[in-house]
Amino acid sequence: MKNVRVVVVGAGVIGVSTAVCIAEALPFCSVTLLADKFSPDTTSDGAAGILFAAKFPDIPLERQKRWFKDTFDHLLAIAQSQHSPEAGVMLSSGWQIFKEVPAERKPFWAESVIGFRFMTEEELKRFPDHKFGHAFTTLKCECSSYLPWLENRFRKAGGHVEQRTINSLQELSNSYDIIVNCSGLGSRTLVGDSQVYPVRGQVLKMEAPWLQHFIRDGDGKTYIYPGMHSVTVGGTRQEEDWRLHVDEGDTDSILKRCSRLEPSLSHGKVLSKWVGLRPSRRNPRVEKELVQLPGRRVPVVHNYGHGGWGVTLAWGTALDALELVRQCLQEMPLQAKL
Amino acid sequence: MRVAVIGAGVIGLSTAQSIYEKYHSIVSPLTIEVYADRFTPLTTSDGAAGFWQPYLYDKGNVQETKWNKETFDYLLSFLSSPESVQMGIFLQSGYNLCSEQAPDPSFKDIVLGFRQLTERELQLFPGYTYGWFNTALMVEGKTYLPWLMEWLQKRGVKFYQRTIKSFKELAETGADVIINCTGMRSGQLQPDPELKPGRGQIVKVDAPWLKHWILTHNFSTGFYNSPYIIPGSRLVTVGGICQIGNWNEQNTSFDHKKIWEDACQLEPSLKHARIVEDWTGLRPVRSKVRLEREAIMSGATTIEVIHNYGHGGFGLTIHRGCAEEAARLFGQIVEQKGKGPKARL
Repeated sequence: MKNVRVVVVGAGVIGVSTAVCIAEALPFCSVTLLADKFSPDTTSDGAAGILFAAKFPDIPLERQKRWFKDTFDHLLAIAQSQHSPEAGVMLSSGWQIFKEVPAERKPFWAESVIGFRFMTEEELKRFPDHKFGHAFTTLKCECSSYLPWLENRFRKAGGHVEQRTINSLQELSNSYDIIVNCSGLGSRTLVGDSQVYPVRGQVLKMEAPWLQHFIRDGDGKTYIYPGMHSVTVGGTRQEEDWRLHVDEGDTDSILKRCSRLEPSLSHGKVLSKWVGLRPSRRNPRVEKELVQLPGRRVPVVHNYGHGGWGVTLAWGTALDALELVRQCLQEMPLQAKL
Repeated sequence: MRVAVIGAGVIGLSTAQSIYEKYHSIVSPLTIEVYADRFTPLTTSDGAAGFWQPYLYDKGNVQETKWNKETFDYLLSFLSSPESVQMGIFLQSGYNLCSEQAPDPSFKDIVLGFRQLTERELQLFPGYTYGWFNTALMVEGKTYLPWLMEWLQKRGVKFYQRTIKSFKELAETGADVIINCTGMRSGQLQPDPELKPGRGQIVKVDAPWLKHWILTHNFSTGFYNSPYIIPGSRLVTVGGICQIGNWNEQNTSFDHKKIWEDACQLEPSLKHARIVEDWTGLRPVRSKVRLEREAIMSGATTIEVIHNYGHGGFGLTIHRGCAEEAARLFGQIVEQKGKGPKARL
């Protein structure tokens, strides 16, 4: 079979994960990872990377469960191995707390994380504003380490990496047989999807090495995530906000809210501040389509719009994208294969 | 009254604190002095990982379980205070692993969120088939002891670097009560065949991706003779040795190798950890803690001594409960001497 040329556009956690899945599973494909930004300059790099899911309204629950489980199991194996520190993947235990008891007491991903249970009365005493909570062990995947580690795996599987800015899929149509679009927020212009929009998030990286547990408010706006070298505290959820610069008002608000949950943070030192735009969408777009470009119709596999759940769903959606690429290969006209 | 505390590990310092707290407004004047040859960071308490956990079973020593609980509750109460970081106190969760089913440990109702390990969790630790998960406290000696010393110094407690050779020596200088918190070396002041060293060697490593303690238990080799990994605020303590009767305070490369190999098998990611240093300490092991009064005759006089030693590998775990009990015993002496609020003149 002729060597099939695949390009994966976007080198955040979704792009790199998808590229690795394809390169490792389909050795007869020549895979290129193409992006304008690579780690440490992607949105994924600033994310705390705690595995945590949310429910999307229109995707079958079984598929969402599978996405979470596949990613969790993949990363757990890394966390348990000697690669853990280099890959930036570690186990993290902690609590998700709620001011009001949620309608769904047990989330759909409860079985996928480790040791899930409800918090005891004693444990809730530390959080006087909160009435209910989950206690469990999940994973933290730090992309500033994980992406370079994964990219290495991609190169070992024969992948090529290219740094380039493209403004339309047209620019790629002559060089590649299949396009895999993992351009996150960039899909707005790259493929004209106005349904993907930014949800601005600001975080602080703090030095507070005595903190060993994550604490997250169920509303998703206030969280403390101890990592390998710093503690990520946040955050904000500002829809349709494109500002990439740090907002000191947000800094103060974050410190105030997080210190309320964890008073010892007042002894912590702020090391840095960062802003990222979550590539949000009503549902992530993981599907294939045939796109009419000048000269021919090119199969495009989309894998974008994961919002704040990129790290959480990366491997699972990458596997789905791989399956879609396989389908594209099967559907490609016979002539192209000679 | 003059109180002389011998020993400046966690037991000596916390006992001085409890006595001050309870009696400084009742006994006037109350002079407290701490005598020791080793101060932080050179005490046994400083080298310990600082992990709050008693031995799995108290073997009927229900007093000790009570003191452990008092200590846990006391430390927990400081967690939300601004002082917690300066005290070296923080929460940490982790795994107690056994290779066979075992009864629930004595501390199950003291710690937070105690539960059995799930199948999936046991799969993370090949070779171990049973165990528990819970959230406990860390109290790091290298931070806690300086905090205690500052607390005491602020309140007029004086410290003297000296090796005390006998209780009589202190009594002759005018001490009314002597508190014996000399840990491992209590035998030098008064022979005690029940007190033995439980030598422990540990390796301190830089492995900041580890956020859980992992303790394994081997019921045939005895307590602390099975690998353990305890992350701290800066470094991770790796150990698994408890040699009863061994007085050697030097590190040995033989022990280092054993500890390291066992730990790497338990936690493969340690392979890439940077080793910082080894340390050896002698746990003051005793069949049970000696916490009692003793009136020692010396010629015509009686020397009032309160013993508070023999806390094995759980000194930090039990310190507050014992300090409060020692203070209570001190109170008895105060009453007897007529120095209390009901003092009759």
